[in-house]
Amino acid sequence: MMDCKPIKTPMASNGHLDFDEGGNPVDKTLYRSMIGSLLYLTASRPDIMFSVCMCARYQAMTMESHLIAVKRILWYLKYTPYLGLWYPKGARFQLVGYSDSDYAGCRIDRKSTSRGCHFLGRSLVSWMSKKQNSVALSTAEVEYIVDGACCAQILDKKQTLLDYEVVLDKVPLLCDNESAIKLANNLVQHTRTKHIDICHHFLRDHVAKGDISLENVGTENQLTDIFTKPLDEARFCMLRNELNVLDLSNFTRK
Amino acid sequence: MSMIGELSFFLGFQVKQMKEGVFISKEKYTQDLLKGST
Repeated sequence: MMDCKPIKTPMASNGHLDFDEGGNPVDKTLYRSMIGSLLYLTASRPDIMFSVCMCARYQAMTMESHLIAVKRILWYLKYTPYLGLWYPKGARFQLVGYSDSDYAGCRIDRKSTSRGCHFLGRSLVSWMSKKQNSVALSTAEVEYIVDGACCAQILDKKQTLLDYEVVLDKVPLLCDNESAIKLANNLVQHTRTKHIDICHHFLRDHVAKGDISLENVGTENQLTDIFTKPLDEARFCMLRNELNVLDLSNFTRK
Repeated sequence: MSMIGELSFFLGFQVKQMKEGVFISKEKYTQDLLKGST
């Protein structure tokens, strides 16, 4: 892999994978070990989080096309080996959550992917990209479930900060779906949302208590796109910089 | 066991502490990963 050609994104912008039942089967052990090594790397590289998780779904039935997708991630790593997380000093100390989802993003079972990331000031402290457990009927429902998951994360962070005597109230959780925000702020049961499981309604409870506050954010400022969609190069690089995933050589040159 | 000086390498993470902030990366791990996969 040392002499492979470098590539600028970890996944083609139409790079959704499927079972590829007619493809050539490949060595599963090799594939799994590659996925394992890449998963360890995601701890400092949120930019490859989505592509690695997507490839990790096909470990049981590995075909050649999946191996090619993993190799593309390695090509991308070859292009950007120096990337890491940058934690700047002196930024405002404020907890902010971003949440979004990719409605019916999975080609096979039409389940949606949740994504979220949390910033403390300008520093990225946690991120997630997860396929949801159930199929959702509307984007509002998907977003509502994601906001619930992000709310749990925020409560966890709040609790940790409390140990350092930092008290935060109404932590903003930015999401780009107005209906989900309305749903969380208004206790009216509506025909489209009756079926949403009770466990997801704890978001509403915490909004009512003032632990978090849901706010709207424009799609262009939504930083979490990188965790659920294959993106084109320009947007991918822009979001990567916004997440403070930077190249060390930029600093040493200064 | 004690180590003198600033933290620079921890559990595979490379930590670089600068005036403006802290930079965390896994550059060595990435390079080894690329070397290891043929």
